[in-house]
Amino acid sequence: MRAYFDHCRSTYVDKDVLDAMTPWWTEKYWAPASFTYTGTTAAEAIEKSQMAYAKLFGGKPDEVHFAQSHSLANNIAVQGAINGKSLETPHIITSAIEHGSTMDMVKQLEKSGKVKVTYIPVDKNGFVDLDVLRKSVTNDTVLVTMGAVNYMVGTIQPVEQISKIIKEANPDTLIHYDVTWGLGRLPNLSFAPLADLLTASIERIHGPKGITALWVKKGVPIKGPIYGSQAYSRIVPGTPDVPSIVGAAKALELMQDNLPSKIENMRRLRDRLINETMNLVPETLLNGPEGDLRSPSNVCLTFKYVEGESVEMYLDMEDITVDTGSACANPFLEANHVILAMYGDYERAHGAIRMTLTWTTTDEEVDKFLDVIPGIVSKLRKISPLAPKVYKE
Amino acid sequence: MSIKYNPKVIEHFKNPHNQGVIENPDAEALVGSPACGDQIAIYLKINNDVIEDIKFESYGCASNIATASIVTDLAKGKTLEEALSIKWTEAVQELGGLPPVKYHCSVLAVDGLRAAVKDYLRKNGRLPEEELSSDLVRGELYHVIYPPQGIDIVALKRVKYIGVDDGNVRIEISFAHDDPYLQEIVDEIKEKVSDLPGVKSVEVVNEGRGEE
Repeated sequence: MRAYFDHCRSTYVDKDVLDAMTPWWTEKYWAPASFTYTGTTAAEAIEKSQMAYAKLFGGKPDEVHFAQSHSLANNIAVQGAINGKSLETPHIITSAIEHGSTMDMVKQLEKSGKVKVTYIPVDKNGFVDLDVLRKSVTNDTVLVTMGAVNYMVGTIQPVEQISKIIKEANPDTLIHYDVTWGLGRLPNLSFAPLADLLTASIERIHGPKGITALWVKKGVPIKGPIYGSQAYSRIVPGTPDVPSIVGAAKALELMQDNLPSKIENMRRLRDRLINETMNLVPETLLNGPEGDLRSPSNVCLTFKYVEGESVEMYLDMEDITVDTGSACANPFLEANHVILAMYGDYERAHGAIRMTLTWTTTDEEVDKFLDVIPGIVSKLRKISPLAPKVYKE
Repeated sequence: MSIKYNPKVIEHFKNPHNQGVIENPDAEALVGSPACGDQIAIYLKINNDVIEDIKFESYGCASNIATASIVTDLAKGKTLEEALSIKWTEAVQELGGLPPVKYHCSVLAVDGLRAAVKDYLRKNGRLPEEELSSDLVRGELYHVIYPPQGIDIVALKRVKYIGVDDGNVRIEISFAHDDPYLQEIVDEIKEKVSDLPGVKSVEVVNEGRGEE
């Protein structure tokens, strides 16, 4: 059986989630509306899901919207915040290590001259520089957007402190956190009410693909970039994807069931992967922080002198799925910008292997990886022009 | 778009030929740069201008290893002149094809071979002193591949101007300003041109594309 360590990108849909969704395609396939039986049945299903997510975020049900993809939700959050205020050149603050769904959006706005952007640098563990952040917030700063947990190296940002710094510097600045990689990984989202906008993709918690919860606090001036029927959401117009929204609620319910033990299982397996790999393979570097400052489901290692796509391919041939920060594996041949921003070291980025876990990851999967990784790395070091002689014997 | 390696590439990746180091080689070269991600070292044993033995080392992806394996196969037993005439397209063909985005790997392997042969000629005082000129620079740019098309930037007519002034090289290229491969292309041009004799600085200017 394949060992799958790429849950930061995709998880299987839980059977119970699928069962909950099915009738909303085949029998109750209706669009939400007022008064009629079909319309109100669909509307009530959406409201149930809104209530579940409102409870998670500490907000109200009508503050919860559902976008059809994670990128869409983040694009709406960022562009909506900018459009909502009529400043000549609004200022956005983000960090140097964000996921493409916000980073690419922000860069595009910057390129078109519509906004000014400050990219807050990070330290060697991926934590944003709070002093630079404090100094960067100005009267024109409309939005600060960042991932509460980093997708690549699992850094858990001190978001409560970050929120406090921002609001002290400018109470009107909006705060958007993408909590996608914190969902099911952090014990709670108690920091949520300190933000104005939150996004959470459900495909990382065994929910259906695409669907992403977008929370917009009441009174936040936001004007989404998408136009269409606003009957159900003025921020995410169009016909809501009722089956996926129903699935999102079920996935959340299952995720919250015994969450502490889920987190504990991931943390234990994460530490097995990190510690045992570092014991088995000399000169292995851990990218990102250790212990409680790191997501329990994130492992990111660089095996010195070895390029990541080769490691990924060898593992793939052994029925093991991982992800890499190597430029070779990137469609645009760019090394991972997160590792580059943290260490300024191309080799470390090209060599980075990311493994992301879920609560059903098993010891057997971890064993399978540990069985083959020393052989793969030593084979590749043997042929690497960068490796010292000791690896050539 | 799904990009896959064919079985021959995988076979060379898993069991590369001519992999390793030659102790006291007659010539050697290391090409590539950390920024672009892959590097290849080539070692040669030469007798009577024939490549008697060749070994390689690779820091790179599966196609990097596979192309180094096949290029060293192609070069073994060849005269220096024959080795210098091996083209990267032959390596791709011999491997039964590569995804275009990976063509630059085979260019790197062929460049490594070429650099090692030149190292031998230089050591033996047989390499005519090359003078820095725009033609010499253009020669290098033939080895810079535009990844989505797998064609070099000279053939694609993306090189608009090459100026050489007292070791300072200025190259003007034409790519859309938001071309996702732009940075990769600029890095590769700089890496290849800065290795030429007498180069003090390399400036790459993108003039954009007409349709913008």
